[in-house]
Amino acid sequence: MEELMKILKELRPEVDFEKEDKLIDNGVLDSFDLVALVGEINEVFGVEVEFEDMEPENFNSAKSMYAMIERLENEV
Amino acid sequence: MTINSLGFLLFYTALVIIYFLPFMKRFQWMLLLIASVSFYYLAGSNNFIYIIAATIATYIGANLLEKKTQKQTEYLAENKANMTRPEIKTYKESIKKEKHNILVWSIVVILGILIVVKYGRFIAGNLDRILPMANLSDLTFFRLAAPLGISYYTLMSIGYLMDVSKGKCQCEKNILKTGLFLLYFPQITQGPIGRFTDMAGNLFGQHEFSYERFSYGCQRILWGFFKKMVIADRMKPMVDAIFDNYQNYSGFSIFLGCMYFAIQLYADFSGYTDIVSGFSGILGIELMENFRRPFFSTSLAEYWRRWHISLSTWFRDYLFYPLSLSSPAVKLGRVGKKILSPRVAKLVPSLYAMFIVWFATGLWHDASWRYILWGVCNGVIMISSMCLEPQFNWIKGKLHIANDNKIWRVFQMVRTFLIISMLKVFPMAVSTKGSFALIGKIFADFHIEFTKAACFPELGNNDFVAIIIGLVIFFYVSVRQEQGPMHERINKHSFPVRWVMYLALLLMLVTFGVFGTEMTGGFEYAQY
Repeated sequence: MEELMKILKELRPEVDFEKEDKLIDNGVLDSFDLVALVGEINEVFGVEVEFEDMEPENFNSAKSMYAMIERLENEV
Repeated sequence: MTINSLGFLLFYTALVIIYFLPFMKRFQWMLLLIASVSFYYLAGSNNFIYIIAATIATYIGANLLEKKTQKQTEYLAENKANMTRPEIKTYKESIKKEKHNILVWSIVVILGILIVVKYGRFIAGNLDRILPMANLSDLTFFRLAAPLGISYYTLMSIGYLMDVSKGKCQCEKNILKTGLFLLYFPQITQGPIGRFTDMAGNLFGQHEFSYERFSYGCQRILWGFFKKMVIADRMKPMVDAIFDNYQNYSGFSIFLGCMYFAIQLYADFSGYTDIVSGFSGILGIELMENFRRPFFSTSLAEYWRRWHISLSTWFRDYLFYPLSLSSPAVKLGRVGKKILSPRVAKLVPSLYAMFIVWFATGLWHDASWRYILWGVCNGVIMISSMCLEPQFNWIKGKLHIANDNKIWRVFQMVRTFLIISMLKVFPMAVSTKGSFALIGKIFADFHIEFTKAACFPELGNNDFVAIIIGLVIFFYVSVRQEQGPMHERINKHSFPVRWVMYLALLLMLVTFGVFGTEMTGGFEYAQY
């Protein structure tokens, strides 16, 4: 989780990722943020986030992103 | 028949009466299908072959995709305990590949129809320039007429198939319901480009008459007609006068014409969306919101998040994401990391996808180079502003401009509006050459002239008064909408106050609206 928080803070320092749970629904992260974020997640965690995973519920909060990463790690 | 004709009002009234008859509840979706087929025919499209072919391809594709998903679930439920992790992975990969093939072939058929009927002439024309001996343009195959709504239902169909493939929704088992989804009359001519996940429940469900829905629907219809008939239709002759004879006007008048067209198109297209959303809402079927006051945008990227939302989100979800996560994008990103700054390198996959998306957006609008150029220009402006963001921020810092500074925000809105207006030189010309001629005129022959002939050509005094009043009301309502949903605010007023408001708007519509035999002409976006 720490690594993910580091990526998120680097991407958007002004956002409180601990509290925010509607990052996509409220438009806090846009599509360009998402693509950059996925690139970082793939590299740091060694997973492959694919088109099928590009759903708001997977990116609305740091917690949901981490859950998705764990799911993908288990699939490898 | 257009949705703003008297014929349609009669058609719709008859539909509503039958639709809400107590014994009709179970058959409502069938009635909608009959109404949609009738509307399609009455709207001038007597060629049903293409939409039938698209429906069959969508139906078969979606069902095959779901069968593969079911096969995987059942197989793993039975055998997972005896399988190793690599075996599970290999099995999942094989199913994924099969699904990918089904998806690709379904899209090839559906998109193929669009390419042949909408882009055949354009492709043949361009090939003839390279190989004049081929004379492809003369072949009937490349001269087919594009049927009504094909650009819209093609995207809806592809989006649905991709959602089924992803497992985001279950496929529809009834082919007639699949047909209704693609042909649903309020959105067949110019959208919104609905999503199956959002619509299926309401479209195939049972609905009781609701006064609340009826009241809100009527508000939207009235407001939509106001925008269409008081603003768009009043402005149209002035815009046409400028662009039909642009040689006779200065660059100043042409640029004003571009701004007028931006406003006319917004009033026309958002008016249409309000009208069909109102009609559909009364039937209990919510359509996707297509506009969120785009002229309040502070950047072109924000403008596209507020304008024709169903199209921009379609391109984002079904083209931008797959492209930016594809292996060419990932490879480009790796190359970018070696030669570019870390910030720009992170943007590379997005920029690669964005360029293709904007090329496709231009092409979607029309099979012409000027629309492709229009799309590419949109993309280039947004890509440049993303890449140069730190430089802009540095200049802003030096000038001590805060982000929440109101004057700065107004400046950004005006700047965005001027960019949008300038880009209208592409759709407003009849050819690519014409677009460049307009640009040439604007820059080479620009002299400010405050006369009626230069600023408001072919506009009568009555038209001028109607447009000004219409725009003031439009602006006021838009500002209030930015603060929260307008209908909730209206509903808080007492019954007499609400009715005074409705009657005042109706009176203005009758007084200032443009009426013809068919009430008004067609809508601008139906041509796409």
